[in-house]
Amino acid sequence: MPKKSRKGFVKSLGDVTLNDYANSSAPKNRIKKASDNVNVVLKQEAEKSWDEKDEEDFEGEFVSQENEDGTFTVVLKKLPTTPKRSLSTSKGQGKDYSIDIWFLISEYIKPEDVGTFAAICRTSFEVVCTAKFWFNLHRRCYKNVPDLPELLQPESLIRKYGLRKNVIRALYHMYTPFVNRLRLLKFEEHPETLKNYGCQSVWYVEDKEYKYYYFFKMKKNISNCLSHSSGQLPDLLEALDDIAANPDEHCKVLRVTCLHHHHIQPQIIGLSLKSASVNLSRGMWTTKCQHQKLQLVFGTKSYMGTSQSGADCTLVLLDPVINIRVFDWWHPLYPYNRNELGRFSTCEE
Amino acid sequence: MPRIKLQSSDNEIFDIEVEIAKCSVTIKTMLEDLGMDDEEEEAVPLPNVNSAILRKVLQWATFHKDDPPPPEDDENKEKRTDDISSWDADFLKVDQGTLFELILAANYLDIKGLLDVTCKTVANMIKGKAPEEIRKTFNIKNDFTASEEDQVRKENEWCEEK
Repeated sequence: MPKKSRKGFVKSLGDVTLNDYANSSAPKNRIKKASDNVNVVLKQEAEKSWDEKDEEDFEGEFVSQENEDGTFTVVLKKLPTTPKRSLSTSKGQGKDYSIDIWFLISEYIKPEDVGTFAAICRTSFEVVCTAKFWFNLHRRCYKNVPDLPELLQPESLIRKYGLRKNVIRALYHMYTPFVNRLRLLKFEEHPETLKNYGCQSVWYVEDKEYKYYYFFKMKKNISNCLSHSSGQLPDLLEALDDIAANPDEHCKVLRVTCLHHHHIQPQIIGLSLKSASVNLSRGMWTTKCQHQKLQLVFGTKSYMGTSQSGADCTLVLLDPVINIRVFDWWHPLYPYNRNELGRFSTCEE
Repeated sequence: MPRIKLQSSDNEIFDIEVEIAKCSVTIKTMLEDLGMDDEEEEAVPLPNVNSAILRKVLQWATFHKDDPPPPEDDENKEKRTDDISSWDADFLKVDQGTLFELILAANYLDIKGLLDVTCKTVANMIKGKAPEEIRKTFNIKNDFTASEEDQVRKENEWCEEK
């Protein structure tokens, strides 16, 4: 709409140029201009009119730069741009098959080949990120096994939220090759494999036989560069459809079974494991049941990268120890639902 | 034997027995819905299938024309991939491009038996191979960056044998 200025001439809003603005008789809160400096700015802008420019051209911030003659120039300084992902032009030889083909093939992929299938190309990865894929995989592999938790039963697998983790956990209860994999495991994972994992939480459970189970939830710090969704921050409704949601991703739990109660300092939460050693328990090696001693050293540098003040290391010594196990998040014994454990206490208490 | 003409995307006409054409649920439904006679003079257009692939599809359909109808797909059953007949295995010894086009054609023409066997063949070729090897076999473009590839591998540690 035409606007009448104080001076009495009518000027269309659409015709206001940068030059008009810079030479306006009513400047407000801006750096004093010099005609030369305006010319510099105008010269930079002259190549294209504002409506011809891309959004990127307006990104950045106005900064004042001192010239050789002591005058100041206001320039639009571009913010450093993140390097754009190249679509692998160097290794980009080959075909790009449509998602339809990958969907069709995905119905024949066995659980042990899912990782390979997802890693073929971006489109096959996209298929593995869909609810259809995981519902289908669960249906194909479903077997009514007695120890399948209610949460992982087909009746419970209706919602999309966290679907992937639930199907994977269900597979380790009902898919024979995976069940055998755990059953025939020859070597237990040593706690030393958790080195550089960050401690997320610690708690313990006491059973009826007065054994104490100490749980250390440890997480590997891995940066995600490949998004399972559109990459934008999801709203609440979108978050509820997040099939890849998994608070235990990249987590393992160290379970230590002890004969006695130990006090574990809650300060270890947020620290990373620097070393773990298992030795014979002092004075217990002559008995029939050889108990062990577990020593965990947590570093003062948090696994999230921030330094903490205080002592350099925090030592956790558990002795005597009956059993030490490390569970991946998909292991049936991983305590993903602490409420199922019955009586438990956090070590902060 | 009543015959029918099929027209590929590159306008080649295939004159075949109606019974063979009816292996395709798409064609069968088309004939029924449009009320086309068995001795239809006009060719049925198949714009999504080229002549080379249609020839292969018809070769497969001719060999399997007397097979009993495939059982209804049980989604709640794990699909076996080790039950491919020797004839089918030989028939599918084709280049990767043809194999993928056969999957698309079988899907479009709704020929369950052919879709089953082609997908099983690809699934078997994927089994036990590294992603790079699969890409090489099927001439697939690797559009992951190195860090993305690493992330996909880490996210799928759950299915790796230790």
